[in-house]
Amino acid sequence: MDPLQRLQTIFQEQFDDPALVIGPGTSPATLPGWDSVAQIQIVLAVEEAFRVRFTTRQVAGLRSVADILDLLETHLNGSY
Amino acid sequence: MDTPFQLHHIGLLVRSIERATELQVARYGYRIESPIIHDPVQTARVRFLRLPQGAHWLELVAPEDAQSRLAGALARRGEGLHHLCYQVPRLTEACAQLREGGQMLLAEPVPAPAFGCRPIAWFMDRAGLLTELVEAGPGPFSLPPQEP
Repeated sequence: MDPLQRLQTIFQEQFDDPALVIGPGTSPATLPGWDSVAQIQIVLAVEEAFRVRFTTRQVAGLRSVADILDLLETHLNGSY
Repeated sequence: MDTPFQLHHIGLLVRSIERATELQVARYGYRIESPIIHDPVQTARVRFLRLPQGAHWLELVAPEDAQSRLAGALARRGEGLHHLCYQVPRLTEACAQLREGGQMLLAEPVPAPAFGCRPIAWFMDRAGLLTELVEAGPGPFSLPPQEP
């Protein structure tokens, strides 16, 4: 399963919506309920699913699904 | 099991410190242990209460104004449990332990005026529960060290 698909599963569980479809452009501005609390819960779920740990500064800089994917890529490729 | 965590206080989010104080004093016999303190980190006004034989405190937390981020939480969830706070001997070690355990550090530790500027840190878990850590040390609202 590619990272976007795994992220989609995480978002579906977070928002309790099995039909939710996300893309790189999905952001707090386009997804109702993606507030600061939901953001932390999503990031913690991502950390657990991908076995990574982000810094507080990195998490604060996340503004969209694309940002999460970019950050994941740097960790999974070992460039972080 | 030995643990460095001592329950320090339970934070209740309230609309009015004054009304909540009256309620807690009348209902459970809490004693007022502090004036109302402005906490710019939490963008809040807080007050500490404690039962006469209590080991820890109850912190009443109210938004400092309508722009406080706590005002949004109050509008969404209403009054109620806001956070649990633990006193720890060494904040850096405790932060690492919580982070390793899957909680998110929300911001770098900062001095807390209410605790004589002892450092505090905030965490959130996957359920959305907030946890505050305060480092042990001299100053107001300091728990005695744990027995070995």
